[in-house]
Amino acid sequence: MTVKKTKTEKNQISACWLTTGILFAVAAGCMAGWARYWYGYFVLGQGVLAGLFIPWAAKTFCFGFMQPKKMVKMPGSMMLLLIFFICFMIAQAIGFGMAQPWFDPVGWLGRMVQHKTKETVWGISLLGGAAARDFRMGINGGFWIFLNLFDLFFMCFFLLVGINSQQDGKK
Amino acid sequence: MIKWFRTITFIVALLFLGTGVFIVDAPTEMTQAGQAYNHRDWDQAMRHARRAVFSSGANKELAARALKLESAIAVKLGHPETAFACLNETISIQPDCNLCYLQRGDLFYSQKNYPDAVRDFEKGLKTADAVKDKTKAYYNARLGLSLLSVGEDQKALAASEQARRLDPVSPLAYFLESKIRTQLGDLQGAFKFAHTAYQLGQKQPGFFSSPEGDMWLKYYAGVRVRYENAQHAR
Repeated sequence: MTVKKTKTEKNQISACWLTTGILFAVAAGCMAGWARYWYGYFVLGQGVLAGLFIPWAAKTFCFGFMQPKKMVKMPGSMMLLLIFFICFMIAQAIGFGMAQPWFDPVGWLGRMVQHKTKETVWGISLLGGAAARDFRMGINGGFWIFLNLFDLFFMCFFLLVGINSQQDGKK
Repeated sequence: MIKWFRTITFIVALLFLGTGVFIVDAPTEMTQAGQAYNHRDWDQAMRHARRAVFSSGANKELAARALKLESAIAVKLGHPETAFACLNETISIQPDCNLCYLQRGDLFYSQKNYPDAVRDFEKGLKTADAVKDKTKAYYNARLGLSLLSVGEDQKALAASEQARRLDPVSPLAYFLESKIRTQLGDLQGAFKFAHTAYQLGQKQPGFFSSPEGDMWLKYYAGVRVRYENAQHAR
């Protein structure tokens, strides 16, 4: 009987944690998109910060300031990761679009892939010498896609770490 | 203790990293906007121009330059409402910017708001001594077309003459004259001027490849058909 109860508890998740996690993913995405337009892309920094912030903030908010009551069936880690990731990415596009003079994040993405525009990247633009000279107007194409994937990989990794730390609430 | 040390280190690191990015230098931004514009990277040019406006502070001249660039990009990308907003802001900073009035008049013209276009063209051309003759001719032709649309034929005629005097190879000025002749019922004159405009347009790269150029080609074809029909009827 006890074993059965523990199993059920293990498969459940606080509704508050899930909801606030989605909300924080949306908020972080909007902020990331806005900052990405105005200040450029902080490769690795953005992914790591977002990946660590979303589960941490949801956990701190729900278990620190509120008393979670309602429990819902725990989706798999990968499903949770997908939910947060999609929320973050859509919100990032919205945040980016809101910062643009007219809302066109998808058009911008198309132009990036087609080498019609470039994105300023933190670090590279701060470097001196030849690197700063060559990349001062930003980067695009294959190198840009690689940096994005690199950043998103770290974001997903830290999101997974955060999600799985959450499962064991007392940790 | 360790927790506080880690937090402070993290904040300091972020501040250190961010300093170079968050401090925006308006002249540098304007230079980069110009470079991006020359490379036809409209997104980056727009972004740097906007950053230049936000960081311009008391440098109103630089802010006006950046806003003019923003307006030019917005026109190129087909966002007249943004171009209007930028030009209005530029005019509020530099009320004596005659080119701003002319460009805003051009926007009014493209929106078929002819009375406002006439007002802006007249205001801009009044003090446009420093503007190049070719540019003045273009805006005179635009003024003439706007005047024609609001029924001021005589004023349109004067603007047409002025446009052809300033730029004798302007196809737009000849098309304007042809339209005035059509309005006055002089079909032969209309065809003569439209034909000259057509020949001049062929020599000007890109004139007929724009949507407006297409409209003028259709106009020329219409005048030509009517003129030839009238000749056959005789």
